[in-house]
Amino acid sequence: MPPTAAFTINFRDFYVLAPEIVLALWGLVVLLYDVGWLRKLPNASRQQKLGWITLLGVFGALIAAIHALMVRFNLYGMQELFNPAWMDFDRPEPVIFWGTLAGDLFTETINLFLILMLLVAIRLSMAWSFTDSWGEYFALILWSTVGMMLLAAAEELLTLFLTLETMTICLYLCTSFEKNKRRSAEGGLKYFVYGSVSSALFLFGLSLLYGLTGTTELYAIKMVFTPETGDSHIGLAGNVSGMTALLLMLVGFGFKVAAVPFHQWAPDAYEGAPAPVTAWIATGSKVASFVALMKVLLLGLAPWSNHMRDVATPGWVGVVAALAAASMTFGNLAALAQRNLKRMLAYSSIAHAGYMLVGVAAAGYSSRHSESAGSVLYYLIIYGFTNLGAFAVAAWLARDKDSDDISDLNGLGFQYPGLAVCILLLMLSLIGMPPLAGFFGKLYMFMEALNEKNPEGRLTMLWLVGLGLLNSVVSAFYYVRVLKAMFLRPAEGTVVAPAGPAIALPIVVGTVVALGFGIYPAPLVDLMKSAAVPMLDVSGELIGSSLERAMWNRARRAPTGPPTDVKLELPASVAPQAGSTAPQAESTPPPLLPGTGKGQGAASKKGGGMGKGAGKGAGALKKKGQGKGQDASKDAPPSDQPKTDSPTKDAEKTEAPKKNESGSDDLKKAAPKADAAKP
Amino acid sequence: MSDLVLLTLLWLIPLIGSVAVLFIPKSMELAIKGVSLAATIVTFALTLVAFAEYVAPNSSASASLEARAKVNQVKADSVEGDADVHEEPGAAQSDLMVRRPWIPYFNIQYYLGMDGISLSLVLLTGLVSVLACLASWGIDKQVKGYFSLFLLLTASMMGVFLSLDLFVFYVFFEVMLLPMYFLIAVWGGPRREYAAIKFLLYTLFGSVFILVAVLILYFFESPLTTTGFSGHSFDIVEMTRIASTTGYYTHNIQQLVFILFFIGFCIKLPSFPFHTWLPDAHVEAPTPISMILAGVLLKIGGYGLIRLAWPLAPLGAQDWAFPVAVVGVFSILYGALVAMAQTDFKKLVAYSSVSHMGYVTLGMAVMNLAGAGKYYAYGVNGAMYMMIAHGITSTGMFFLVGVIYERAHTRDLNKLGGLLNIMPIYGAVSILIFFGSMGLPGLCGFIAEVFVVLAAFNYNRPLAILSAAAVILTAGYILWTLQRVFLGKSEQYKGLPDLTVREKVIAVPLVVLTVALGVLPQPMLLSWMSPSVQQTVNAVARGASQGQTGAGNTVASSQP
Repeated sequence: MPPTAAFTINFRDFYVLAPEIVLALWGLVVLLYDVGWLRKLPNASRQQKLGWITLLGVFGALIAAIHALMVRFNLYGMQELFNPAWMDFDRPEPVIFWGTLAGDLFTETINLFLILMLLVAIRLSMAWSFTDSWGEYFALILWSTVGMMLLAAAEELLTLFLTLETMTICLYLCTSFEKNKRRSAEGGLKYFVYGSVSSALFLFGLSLLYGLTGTTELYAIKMVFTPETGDSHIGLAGNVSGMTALLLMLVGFGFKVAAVPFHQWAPDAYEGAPAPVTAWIATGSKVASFVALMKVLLLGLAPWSNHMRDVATPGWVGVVAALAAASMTFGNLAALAQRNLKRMLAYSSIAHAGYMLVGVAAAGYSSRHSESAGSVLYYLIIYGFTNLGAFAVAAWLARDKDSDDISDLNGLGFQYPGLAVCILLLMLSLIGMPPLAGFFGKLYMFMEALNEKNPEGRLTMLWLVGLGLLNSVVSAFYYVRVLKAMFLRPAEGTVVAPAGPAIALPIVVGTVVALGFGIYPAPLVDLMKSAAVPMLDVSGELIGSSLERAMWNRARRAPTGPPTDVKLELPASVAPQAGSTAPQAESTPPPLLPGTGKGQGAASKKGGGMGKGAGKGAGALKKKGQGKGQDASKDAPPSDQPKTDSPTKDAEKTEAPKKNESGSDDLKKAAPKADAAKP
Repeated sequence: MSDLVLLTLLWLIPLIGSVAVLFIPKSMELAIKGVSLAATIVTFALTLVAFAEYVAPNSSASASLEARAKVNQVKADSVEGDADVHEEPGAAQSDLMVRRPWIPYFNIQYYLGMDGISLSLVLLTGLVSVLACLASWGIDKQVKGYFSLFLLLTASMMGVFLSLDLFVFYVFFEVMLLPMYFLIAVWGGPRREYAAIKFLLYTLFGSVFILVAVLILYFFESPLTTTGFSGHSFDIVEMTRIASTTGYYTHNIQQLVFILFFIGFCIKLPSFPFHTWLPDAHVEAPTPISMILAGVLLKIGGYGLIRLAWPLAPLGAQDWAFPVAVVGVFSILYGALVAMAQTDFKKLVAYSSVSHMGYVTLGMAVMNLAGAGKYYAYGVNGAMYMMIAHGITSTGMFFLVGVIYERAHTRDLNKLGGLLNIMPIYGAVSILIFFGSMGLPGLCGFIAEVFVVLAAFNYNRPLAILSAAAVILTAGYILWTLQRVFLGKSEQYKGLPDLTVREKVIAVPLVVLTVALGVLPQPMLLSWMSPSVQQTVNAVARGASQGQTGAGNTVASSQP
């Protein structure tokens, strides 16, 4: 963000972040309440009290998240109800805080699901007493969630890194919270050491990327790498520094999502951490990291994906495909040998990361980015809820038997048949057996992977999908071991006590999700499909705010001509944007009021680039265009800008080239001034 | 009864029964058994209703699937939703077909229907499940779980035979595995866990092949664009039509798809070399489950071959016909020889299943398409007949083995003996059913073998001679078994009670059908089944001839 722009903060930006803000503040409330009022109480009752208080805050965040979605879809007339003048719902911007964070359908959806998972995880944490420091524990879990939600919303690399670290540092601490267990401290330390090394490498990758592009914003990075003509899939042939940056970043992401070969921390950390924390690392952190991975790869580095639409060419698709194959195979084979439930689930979650990387690779090479990404999101959500249930089983064993081997489950099917059947369904969903959601998710993802017109990459994808399916057969072997213990072995040793609501909740929720979205997946598929569109779409304001710098950098790198002479034009890929907004507007399911909602958002996105009078982005652009000295207020639209209102939206499509020209004219005007402003 | 209700109830009633059983208190074992029996009987009655509808004169249900599919259209089956509005124009007429959108995004339909092929197997499933439920009366360990899983298994088997959408087919196909796994693993013999996991992994492995083939068919986009069909469909009827009348699926793709389907269903069938799970599963499974396994589950493999592998990839089938026929003949001979070497009664019957299923493979593979596939129709009819006949005789054989195991507590053929004197009714029933399995003229197995060998003779003489000679081996092991079990004198087993009333109730339908299918093949089965078989054969023959004539078209149309 250039320091030259004198931006004002729109209050609406805070409003969009309401769930995050509620959770962050509530973490403090929990901490203070613990220190202030509950110090004297015995540990167990402190845990329960704090747990309920934490849940209260999570409910608050949940309401905020649901509210945001209700306003977006205009359920029950929410849009009129919550539309005072200062809130500016007429022109919802897809990005907030000067383009660092996204605030669109996608973030709202992910927030909702993360909060729901958090709710389950917090309730699970109240199952038994594994630590004394309850205030710290709940606060850290809440803050890690804030990190996750912001990570999913991050639109530029610096924010991405900071939120990633917020999330992981909280989780490092939570991992070693079971202080009377050696393995907890060991797991936390391993997690921390691996995590910090990979973070350092990741940061190095980011810095290289910044060096190459001169910007940290994902969309601008994409624009810099996109060639002006020809296929936008340029790949990485011969680009050593680019390859280095890419590989370093993949190390970081590979660590976060526990993909082979960066997975070594996962089994130890999963086994060592208290079960609720493990559940949260395996679900929440994985969901957020996958979202960030997809954003960086599919948005920022999309031009580097592959060369000429083939998979096995220099570019990240090939690398991700290799990681996927390795993760699936290794994860499943290693899980075969495990006797500990948590460790087994750790290896299986490595394998699941492998399946999802297949989807990511597919989204990278295909021309149907957002559909493929939507299938990965669907899988993530299903995976998240079913795994929460699976780890709740581990929590149950840890609570009553103080050990979590698979053999500890012996005879559970006879003592608690109801919950055992639920666990059975969870395991079948994790194997991918129809008609459960795990099966549909896997099939959906694999089908999207194969659903690509161009034949070159398709064969590779078919092999990858075939490998994935074979791997699910292998996985059946170790998941069935859980079923075998529950239903075929007699109970032995200490018997587990009844689960209680804390442990039953995740199991039942997971089962309901697995069964419900397995038999009737259509609603979630639709939601994820429409959520994936804004995830991978251009963020309008970025065009105004930092594209110019990006263009400058690109011009400087160009072999011919000094920067002042070079013609700055919007790259060719902006032009298709006009076309790409149309399906986006259609795919948002409920009809929106004219002049509100996503359709208008899309229009205003475009307007941001093309100089829409009222748009903030255009305002920013304008300001830069007219020089920094001018104290232009954002509300006063410059008179020379063409007004674009929603009625003219259709006409705009046909006029797109012309507008483009005017937009680039604008930039051309802007360029010398900005140039002069540079030291 | 409308089609939607009838066809849905066929699989839903066992499913409801399976859930209902769970809510009956553990102590009321008789109620549990009663509810299960009622559910299977109602299901069987419904299959008879469907049968009556199918064979009724001027019934609209006996039209070909393709013709009926045209009447039953899902309106607005666009990819992008909006499929809430639909009508079934054919709803008024009962034609045993129902189509509803399920997951419109992938063009997945809830698409059920029956023709002669599936109807015969649905009837078999209905009958065998009633008999197996009766045979389960003696189960005393975790009764509730047993009958719940049993009914779930019945529901999924019904669903497999009913579905005309590949996705629905696959869902039912997979749902079947889990109850089977538990039924073997909990209520089985000493090595039950090994047998159960072997069954599960083999079948899952096979289903991967099937799924890959399905995905290839779904996503294949042909160079031939003139057909008006662009893939992205799970509709079996439509895809069969495309494969048989147009050159949409190219030769290479059909070869690949055929091999994948063939391996997948061969594991289920099972055919050499994928048969090794079967003896283990049979030996360890409790008697009623063995009956279901041999009577119905193996038929799903054969049904997959007839319904999917051949019609969806006729060109591939033709290319691979000879190797497949060799595999079939080898299975026949190998199964018979191995059966001869067994001393475990149940294992012997299991290997005889491998041998008999070889006839199914052979009957499908003898693709002599001269004369509009006249001889080939013999083969496919024979394969279908073998499935039904084997469904009846093997159910009976496993039941009879179970009866003697319950009484004598051994299945060792060398220890048994002299039972004909001790249990005369049991002996008579056994001899009849074993002869039926052996293929004695006048009993059901004979018709099937004759049809298959006849078709094989017109395809390849050496293979036909080998498969005909296998009858000697079959007679060898069956007669030797009968001799060891029933003839001679035995002091040890004196006083064993003969068949009880319940067991007689089970035995009677099997005996009657064994004889009736052997004496009256035409009215019993062929008159209503073979038109559908003929349609399938025609489709395959037409599709295979696309290879000669259609290849030119494909090239020509893709050249400009």
